[in-house]
Formats: sequence, structure tokens, C-alpha cells
Amino acid sequence: LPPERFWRSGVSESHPLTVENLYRKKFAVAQSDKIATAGSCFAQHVSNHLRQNGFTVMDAEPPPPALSEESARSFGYSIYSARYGNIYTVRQLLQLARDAQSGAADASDVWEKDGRYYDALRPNIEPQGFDSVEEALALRRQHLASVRDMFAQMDVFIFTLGLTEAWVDKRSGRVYPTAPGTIAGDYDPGIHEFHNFGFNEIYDDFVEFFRLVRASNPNFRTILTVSPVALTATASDDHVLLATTYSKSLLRGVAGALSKKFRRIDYFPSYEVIASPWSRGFFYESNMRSVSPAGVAAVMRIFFDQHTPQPKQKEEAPALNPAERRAAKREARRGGKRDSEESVVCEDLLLETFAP
Amino acid sequence: VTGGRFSICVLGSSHVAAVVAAWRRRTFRLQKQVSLTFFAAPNLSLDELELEGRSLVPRSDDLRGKIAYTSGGKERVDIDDYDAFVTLGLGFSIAPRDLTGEYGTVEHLASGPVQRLVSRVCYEEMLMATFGNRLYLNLAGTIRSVTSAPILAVPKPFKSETALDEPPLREKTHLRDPAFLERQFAICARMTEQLCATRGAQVLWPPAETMALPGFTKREFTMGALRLTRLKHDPSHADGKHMNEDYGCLVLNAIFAKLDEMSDGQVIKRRRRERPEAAATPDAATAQPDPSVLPSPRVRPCEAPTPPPASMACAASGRR
Repeated sequence: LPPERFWRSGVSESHPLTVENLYRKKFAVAQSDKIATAGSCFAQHVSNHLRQNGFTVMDAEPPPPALSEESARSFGYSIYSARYGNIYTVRQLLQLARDAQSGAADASDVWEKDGRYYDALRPNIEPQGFDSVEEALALRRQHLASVRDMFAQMDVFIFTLGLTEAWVDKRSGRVYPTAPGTIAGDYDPGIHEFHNFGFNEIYDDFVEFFRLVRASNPNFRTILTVSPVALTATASDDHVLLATTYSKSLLRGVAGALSKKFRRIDYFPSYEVIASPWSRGFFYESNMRSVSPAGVAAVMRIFFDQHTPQPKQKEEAPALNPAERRAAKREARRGGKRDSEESVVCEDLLLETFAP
Repeated sequence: VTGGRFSICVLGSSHVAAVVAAWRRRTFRLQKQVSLTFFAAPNLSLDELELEGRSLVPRSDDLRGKIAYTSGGKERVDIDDYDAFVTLGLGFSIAPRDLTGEYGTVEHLASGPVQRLVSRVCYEEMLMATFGNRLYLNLAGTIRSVTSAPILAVPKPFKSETALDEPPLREKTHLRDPAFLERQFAICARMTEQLCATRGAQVLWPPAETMALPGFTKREFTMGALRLTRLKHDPSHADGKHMNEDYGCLVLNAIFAKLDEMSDGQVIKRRRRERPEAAATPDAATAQPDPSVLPSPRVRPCEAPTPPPASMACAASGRR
């Protein structure tokens, strides 16, 4: 057996910053491939590094050019390939794909707080909320059209699985990225319920998502990662450490099962690099939850070892639209400034405010 | 400040030309009570002015030459020499793209298609970012840091209404809706007024009689357009951006009225106080009628054009 198959030579006597053969790509990702990114907050790091290294990260909803980078991000622009905010659960991803296909936006997904209105499915994209339900719905319809185009055009979809826990509207089955009452809306036990998705649900949801998108884009490939960021809080009855281990184990299991089953789904082990005993917690910030810039860099080094950025050649220049070109330029100027935890938009951090 | 006259410093770009021409060629009732000094240079060249003590000093010889040319020999702006300051243009504009560009709100949808929809809040933040960090604001802030004198910000003239019949604006259906334009203009105006207020400046919008629609100037004011290098009157010349002497005249009257309001009546009342003194001078024969019976300068156009003085001809031909 090769050395990496043995724990001693593969892990104990190896180092996460220099390790080899941890990840072998299933398929190549070229810099000209149109990449769409989504997932939990950790996915933002992946997206940033891809852009910085010259990969073609799509921006289906580019920010208005006049806005500063900081302002644009506060409105949810340029965080992912469209303005969907964090997608923590696979059910949420499936729901987005279904909504994008139908184009339908419903007023029941708009939450009110202090006379302002929030898109419950992406509550963090308008820091002051919308003026009206109508405005929220009009913007949502446009968003869904952009997402539909993005799904149809992407060559590679990189998705970071984040959570298994979610809040669900019992009447409609709609899943929300945040608990009602945190950013907006009101928690009503008659309407909302907590749900912790199990292995089969998550697996089936992703297969359904994959099938749905392949209907319009038969050749797209997927890279799955699991976020190494622990839960801020759990709504289950378990200790948060147990809840985190349960959640991450399920997600890792599903990602592994999907990549074994489907030729066009690959698994990239960012979770193992950061969260395993191998790195001795070195890649976590002092809260033992957030991933440090060094951790992100270590993960991305392993990614780029397999998907090597090439010096740009004229004929290989990706076909970016003007807004994507502006985003790429902004990213080049920004360099590695986006690695810190403060620069990542994470709704679940709000739960910290509820901590005793 | 300057021998009893209310002394106004005008800082501007090529759009100053219409005002310069009006001031030199026309007769104003306040002509003897007000002095105007123009510091003008093309586009945003005044960006090279730097505060040194209580003066704005050009950083380049090129700009020094330009402001000396337009000011009658002054190579720096000594702040204490002036009772009030006017910025004209210098990045202050409300362009058609600000009224409806690639991005729009739900409100825009009522008047036509929108390429990219954004929320009203985001739209206003966009506008704020668009209008902020402009030269006129920076200059106003710099001046305000050393003086409490009134500062008036005048936008560069709005585009000619003829632009609405030409591409690319011809395709913008929103611009055909006066009610929509009025609302959008009001938003832009509110933003710029807020920004000016942060620098201790007030906005003077072009007089209503110059506007065809909110954000667009009547064609008649664009005929015979003047620039710093083209002060010679040519009634057929129009570039759609620069304005003529009639426009300059209306703007100048509006400036006097607004500054009078901002300086607690110093501009016009001073004239009343000094009238007996003025009558005793050799210029008494050309003195104007009693201002107390005149309508406000804001609504009263300046007098009929007078032949350009010799100095004007020099300026127009580029000689000094």
C-alpha cells in the first residue's frame, strides 16, 4: 500500500501544510470553466480564492458599479455567484433550484420587522430590509431568473454543506436559513418547527437537485465540500459539540456517498484538513469555531495542487461579461484581504447574541 | 472684504465660461457692489489646488497659468480675500444615467423596463456613492475648514433636451415620463444637498426657466455655447453640454440672490447702504434705479447685452 494509506505515514508523520495525495481530482477544472459557488459561510473563502487565482467565478447578479466593495457585500453582492446568501442545508439548495425553475415568489416568504420587509429565504441581503412586500417579491423574482441562468450556464458547481438543522414552515414545508425572529419575522410554534435532516433526506435532496439542474445543463460537474465551521448553537436537545459532530458526520457521509455514486460529483476534503486531529486545532481561531486565514490557505493549496492555476493566455481568456470582469478586477485589487472571519457574512453568528 | 464690495470667488471648469461672458458683457444691478473673481480650468484640473495656510495653491505650473489667466493674474486663491465661494461644475452633475441607468428600482418599472432591479435603499446608496467624493465637495470641505463664509455649489448645466431625441437616451423610455423624471430628480437633489450640507455648502440648482424637464436644459440655452477657450459668440454653436450667455446671466442672478439669502442680506443690502457713496463717484451717471423697487434678481433677467469690452476680445482669441 502507498504511504498515504497508513495513518502513521499518512497523518502522524505528515503535515497538513505539505501533505501530498490527500485529494486526487476526479475531473479537471479549467480556469475558463464557469464556476458557480454556494453553501455555508466557509464557501465564501473558496469563492474568494478561486477568483484570486484567476478562475472564472460567475457573478449572475453583479453589484452596481458605484457601490464600494464593503457596501456591495452588505447588500449580498459578490459573496457567491448569485445573491442567495448562505445556503446552509441541502433542502434549502433544492428549494432554490425549484423556485428558480418555477420563477414563483410568494408573499408568505416575506418577513416583517419594524415596518421593513425581509426575504425570509435570504434575510441578510438587504441590511435595512425592503420598503414593501412588493419590492421584496420583485427583487426575488429577478433573483430567481438570475439563478436559473446561472444553473443553466455553469460548468462547475462548488457547494459547501454546512448544517443539518433548519427551521421549517409546517404549512408549506419551506425551509429558512435563519430561525424566525433572529433577523426578522416572528417565531410561531404553530407555524414553525425545528427539523434536523437525516442522511437519507440530505442524500435524496441533493440527488433531486442534481437531477433538476441536469435537465437544463446535462454536463455540469459538482465539487462538494463540508464546512469545518462548528455550529454556533443547536436547537436539538444535545450539547452543541455532540450536535456539531452529528451534523458534520452526516454531511461528510452524504458527500462521500454522492461522490462514490456519481461520476460528475467530486468531494474535496477541506473538512479533514481543518477539523481532524491532524491539524491539532491549529487552523481554528481562538473561539475554536471560525477558520483562520492560514487554515483557508492550507485548504486552497491542496485544491490548487490538483486544479493548477495557469498563467493566463489570451486565447484562453474566459468569456466574462463586463460585470464579471469588474468583479475579477476588484478581486485582483483586493488580494487576500477577505480571509479573515470578519469579512465573511454568516447569519448564524447572530445566534451568539442569544447565548447566556 | 475688498473695498466694500461683496467679493465672490468662483471656482469652476469650462462651464464657468457662460457666467464669465454674462458678467463681462451684460449689466447687472449689483455690478458695482459685487466683485467676481474666476478661477477656472478645464474639466477637473482644479483638483491640483492644495491648501497651504489659508490659500488654495496650484500644485502645477500649468494650473497656475490657467487660474492666473481666468482670474486676472492671481496665482493662488487667498481665502480671506472673499466673502463667499461658488463652485461651478467640478464634478457636480446630475447626468441622465443618474436618473435611469442600467440599474433601477421597482418605481422605475412603472415607466419602462429595468435591466437590473435593485431595492430603493440600495439605489439611493448607489446614488450617494456616485455623487460623493467629487471635486466640488472636496474643495468645499477644504474651504470650510478655514472659513465660515458662505459656499454655494452650482451643478454643471444639465444636458440639452435635444439629447432625449438622440441615441442612447432616445431608447430610455423612463426619460419620456416627466412625473418619473421629477421624482428621480428629487431623489438625486436630496442626495446632493445632503452631501453638500456635510461640507457646509448649499446647492443652487439651475433656474427653473432654464429647464425643459428635470435634468435637461432648454435647447435655447445651448445655442451659442461658450467654453473657456471659446468665449466668442457664435449663435449656431451648440455641443449639448455647454451653455450660452443667457444661461450664464440667469445663473449669475440666482447666485447673487442665493448668496444674499445665505449671508443675511449682505449682497443686496450692502448696495443700499453704499448707494449714496456710489452716487458721489464718477460712475454715478451709470448708476441703476433704486433697488428697493426692483424685483428680485433671481427672477429678473440681466439687462440687454452690451458690446464686449476690449479685454473680452483678447480672452476670446486666446491672447492676454
